[in-house]
Amino acid sequence: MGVSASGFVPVRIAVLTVSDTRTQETDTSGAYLAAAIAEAGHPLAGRSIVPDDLDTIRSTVAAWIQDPQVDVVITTGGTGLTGRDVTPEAVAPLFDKVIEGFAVVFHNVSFRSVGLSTIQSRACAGVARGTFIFCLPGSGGAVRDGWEQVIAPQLDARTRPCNLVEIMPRLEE
Amino acid sequence: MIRVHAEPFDAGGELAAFAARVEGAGAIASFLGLVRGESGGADVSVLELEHYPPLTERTVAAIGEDARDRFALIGFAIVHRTGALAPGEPIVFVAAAAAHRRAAFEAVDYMMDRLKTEAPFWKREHGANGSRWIEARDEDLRDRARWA
Repeated sequence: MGVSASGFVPVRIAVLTVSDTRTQETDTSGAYLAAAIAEAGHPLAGRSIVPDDLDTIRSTVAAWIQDPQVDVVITTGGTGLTGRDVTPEAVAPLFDKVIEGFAVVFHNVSFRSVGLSTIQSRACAGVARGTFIFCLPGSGGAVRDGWEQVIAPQLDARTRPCNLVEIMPRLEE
Repeated sequence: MIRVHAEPFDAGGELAAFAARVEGAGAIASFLGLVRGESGGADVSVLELEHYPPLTERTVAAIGEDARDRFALIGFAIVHRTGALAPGEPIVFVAAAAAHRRAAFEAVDYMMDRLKTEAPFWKREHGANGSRWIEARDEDLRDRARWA
């Protein structure tokens, strides 16, 4: 990881869109994340769209966890409560540690945007073999809230008093 | 011509200005989308649109340019509102100018299907029962798939 004069440290982020219906053209949440990641100064380490299928989601995220070129995985979609929503079930078993505070803070942020509707999301995050994984809802507004107000500042090494980037070297101690 | 902004627009004025701008067209078709006052059986009091300008402008411009290429348009116009809108307010205006009517009609339909599914607008509905994010419906995605 290179440290710039300002103290910013780019981290390599892969984006996974989970949806039965979205395509490359209509994946607006994935497109937003890719653009916002680049604007923040982080390299996009990968981008993919998979259907709401537990095995496919898990194997895609697992491959990124094992890939030394990927520091962070962000998924969008599949966090709701319907039968087709299985992203947390697919990803959580991969976690070595669950970042409970992420869900708490995300829901706080989301509550300010849409009130009680936020309870329909099961946004979650964890660490797996030194890789951070964040699971955001599919709706574009919720992705924007999650990126701008929670993930982006926590993936910025300049954020004080603490951020997730500064502890990356110690995740696999 | 594309514009994305929070200020209200006048659809009649937009159409007149567009017609004056395109030369040699034999047909102009236009569409005006209004904010609906009802959604999923609940009354909507405000529809709030936010967006990510670097991506929105690129996406909306590409939709217009693709329509121009695909339907041999002489010109196109896309005007999209952002900000807080009340039911009945104009939210989107699309127009296409072509040599003949079929291309103009189809180009407007095509641009709207792509705007609904590809333009990264974050739509938040506020009503008596609370707020929620609005996404493209399966129907919108099926409409978009007609042009694949």
